[in-house]
Amino acid sequence: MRRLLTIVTILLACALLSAALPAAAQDASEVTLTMWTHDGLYVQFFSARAEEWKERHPDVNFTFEFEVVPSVFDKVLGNLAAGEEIPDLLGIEQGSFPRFMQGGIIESKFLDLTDLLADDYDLIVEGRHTPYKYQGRVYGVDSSLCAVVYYYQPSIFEERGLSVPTTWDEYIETGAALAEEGIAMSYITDHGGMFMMYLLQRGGAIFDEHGEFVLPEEENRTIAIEVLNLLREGLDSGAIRYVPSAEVWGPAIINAYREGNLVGAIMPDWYSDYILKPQAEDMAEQFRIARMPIWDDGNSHKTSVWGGTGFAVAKENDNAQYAWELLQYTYVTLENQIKRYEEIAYYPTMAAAFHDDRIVGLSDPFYAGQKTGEVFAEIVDDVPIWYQSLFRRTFELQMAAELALFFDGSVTADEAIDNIVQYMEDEIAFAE
Amino acid sequence: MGERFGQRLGVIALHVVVISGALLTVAPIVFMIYSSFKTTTEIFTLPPWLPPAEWSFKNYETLLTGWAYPYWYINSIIYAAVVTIFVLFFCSLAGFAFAKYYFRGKNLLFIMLIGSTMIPFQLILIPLFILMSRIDWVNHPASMIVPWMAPAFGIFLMRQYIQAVPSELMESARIDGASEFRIYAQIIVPLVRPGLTTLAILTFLGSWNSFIWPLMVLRGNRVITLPVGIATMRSQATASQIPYGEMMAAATLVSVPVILLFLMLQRYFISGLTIGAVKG
Amino acid sequence: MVQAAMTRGREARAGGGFQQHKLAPYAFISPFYVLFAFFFLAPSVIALVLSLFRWDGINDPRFVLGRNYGRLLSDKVFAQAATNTAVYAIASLFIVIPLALVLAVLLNAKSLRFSNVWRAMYFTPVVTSTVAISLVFQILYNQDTGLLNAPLIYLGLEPIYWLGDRSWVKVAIIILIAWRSTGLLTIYFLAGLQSIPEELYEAASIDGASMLQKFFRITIPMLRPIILFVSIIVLLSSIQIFDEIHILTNGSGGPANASMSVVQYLYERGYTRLRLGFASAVGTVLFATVFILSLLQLQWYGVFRKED
Repeated sequence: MRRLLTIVTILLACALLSAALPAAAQDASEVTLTMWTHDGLYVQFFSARAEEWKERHPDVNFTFEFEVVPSVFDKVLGNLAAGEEIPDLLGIEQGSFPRFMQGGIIESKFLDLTDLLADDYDLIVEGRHTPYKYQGRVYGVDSSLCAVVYYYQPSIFEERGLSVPTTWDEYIETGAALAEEGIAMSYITDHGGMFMMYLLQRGGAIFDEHGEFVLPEEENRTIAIEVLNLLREGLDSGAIRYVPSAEVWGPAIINAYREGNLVGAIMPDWYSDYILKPQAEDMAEQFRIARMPIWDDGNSHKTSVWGGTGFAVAKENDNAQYAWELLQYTYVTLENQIKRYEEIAYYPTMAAAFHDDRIVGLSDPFYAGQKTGEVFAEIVDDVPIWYQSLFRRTFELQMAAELALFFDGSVTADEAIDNIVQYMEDEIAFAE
Repeated sequence: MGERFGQRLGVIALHVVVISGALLTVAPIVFMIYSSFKTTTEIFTLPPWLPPAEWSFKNYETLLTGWAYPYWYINSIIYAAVVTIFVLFFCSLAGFAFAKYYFRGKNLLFIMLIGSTMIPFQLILIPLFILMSRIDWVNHPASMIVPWMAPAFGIFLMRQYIQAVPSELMESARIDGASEFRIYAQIIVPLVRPGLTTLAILTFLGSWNSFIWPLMVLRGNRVITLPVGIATMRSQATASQIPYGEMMAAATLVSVPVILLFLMLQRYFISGLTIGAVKG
Repeated sequence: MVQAAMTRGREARAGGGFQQHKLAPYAFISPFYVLFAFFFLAPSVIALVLSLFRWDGINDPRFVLGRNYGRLLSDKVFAQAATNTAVYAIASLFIVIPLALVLAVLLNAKSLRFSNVWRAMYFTPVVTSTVAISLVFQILYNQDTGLLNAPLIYLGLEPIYWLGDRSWVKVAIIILIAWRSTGLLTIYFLAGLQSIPEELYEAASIDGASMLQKFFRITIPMLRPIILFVSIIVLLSSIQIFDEIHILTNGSGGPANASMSVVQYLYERGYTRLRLGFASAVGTVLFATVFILSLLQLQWYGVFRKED
């Protein structure tokens, strides 16, 4: 036993010693900027911009290490817990932002961008700041507008003399007609975020701007039930198809498009280049974009919103200043927001960009030359605001479970909402 | 006559059952290999059991040139090999002690040993990672090797094998003045070679396949191992294509060497289990 | 059996006398205990202590006594994950093990030609990479174009929602477990079968025993130790199942948590929400369960018998 103790002591001593050694000082003229993200398109775009930007610092020799890292947020949070280095720039997918709100990590480890954005703050639509806000301060710059539209195959409608529906009633009606031939208009899955997307369009909210859980309030509860019943109606009529969450982004959907038994999808702007185009290269010219259907009583936004990735700067890193400069250059200039659209088709977050001919005038060959930017220009002023909360992830995951039960008819809309509210209240009480 | 007919029928039925089961078992692997030669569209086209229309090596080409795949491969091989060597040594040594010696606290130590296999790895993931960070082992090859050098399962397995070795051999060696370590090295090790083969295969496989730990401790495109690399390919779905075909090519190349290794060692492996596993 | 008893006798006599002989075993087992203490025991103790705290990994931990455990035991999702895990464990024990046993008997049949080839084929799934093969199965389970549904579609039957239906998703995961582990278990059983003396079967044949009678009266009793050995391995691995489900369901454990395992619950609720104390509480409960179950099994197995 003594022997064992000795060895453990030696090992521990080594450990403490090595931890105490100072990190090698970095040569001022040699700078390595690092970035981690989950989406390769960002790597592509940042790399291109970084090459231009580094000309501003001719005295510095930059190396850029921009990487796609699997399970990137698990890894960053693990590193933070262990006191390990994190990248200078981190693309935080907005769904994971609440993980960084926990314990105020975002505030203690990342740069507060509110004042740095200065006058540029107002140029970006408010709804693209809120997903990265913690206690009223902004910590991320978003990568795209994330406004929701309807991607569809016009030929399916034209062959049957149908037109593209503009309201939900028409949508269900058209869908019911197509359902007779086994064709669905779009699809849903048991995903909490997807539900929030439909809910926001109707003007509902799960959390308010302080992150409080407001679903139990009468107004929001009513809207949530309305939305669930709309989806129910869609499923029952065959207009909307249920797809297991494991298959939502994969080739199963693309194949259904290809076989003509699925018209399209109600999805945000990133769906186009991140999901659709790469997988359906062979279906070029078969798709178009239209506004998503609105609620018939007029009580609804023209669009909805879902997703986004905000780039944040690690404040304790040596290169925080350079990282912010690069981020500002890449994401917070109108010129490069337009370039971003041209290169990776993520829509600008600056409303002014939608007056630019390079956005509204650009015809996309994949959509048979349609000027898709025009569709977005019509809705950019009506994108709903998505508020963040510490409990958002808890909500989304449990809501996914409740949705699965609701979709297969095990519970009613009322029960589903009661269940989720009960669950959330337990979780919130536990976190007190 | 009737009996022989019945017997023959039985033999045929046996073959039918065994062969169809075997075919079902390898079907996903065949599918994987097929798919590695297909385009993504073709992978998802019915019927899925068809071989590729055209045996294209494009996926393999992209895999080897477009990704750091060769690095991942070499890393995985090195880690798996080094871990396996240490495991063979430490586990057989400890297994020997548990099988052939009486010492105070043996039962308690053995319960600890068994108990350690029941610690869910996810329970200690974060504390262990923090520990690695304190000793500066994050992104250091040691973190992939040292903690995994003496797994309890391997000791348990080796104990089973070594118990079957007759103790007379040890006794006579002792009378000849051999040290305890020499008894281990010159008598025990040669006799449990099949057992060591089994342990080697299982350890190599475990290391080769491990995912969460290398994901946590390794960083850098050329430093990671195969499973992490494949996961990276998956999350790196970019404008080019969600690389299903390339991922299947990657998966094929991951599996093939281990399958070959097994085929080569199969005889030792099975006879190794015969000796060890039978004696409770 | 007889030989084992003789061995024990000799060892007992050989004990004592040499000083080296007394110290050697400690030296031989020390690498394990040093590594274990440092890399596994210490983190486990930290985790155990953490389970009484609330800690996000960055700020100071706060002592909350049993609150993590209280929430855990009242969380319906944990109950669901525990039930699912029990289903996986039971299915592994009562479907996969018998399947492997029957397969081993078939592969051991003298009249089987090319048995080495078939054995190798059955073993191949064991050597495939979990990450890779889970991706393959995700494609195989695809509702419209998957290999598993293709025959159903071909026959004009309704395809199965393998990963979208709350019951089928468990079946899908059990199939994957069975596919991956049957081969290895079969090899263990084969090894056991080859050590059963042929005379026992011959004697039974003379007495006019049928195939089934031989299986239940000779094969099973003779394989008892190995069945127990295998069932411990299976129990341990099935209770800690994570990788397969995580990849097959895109990390969701869905639909409606219907496939979520306890370890996945730990990972999701604990780490992704940075409730490290809570995660530790889940891990501790899991460890306690597995430990007790395994001790019971080992007791039955006879590992702690004094003379062993």
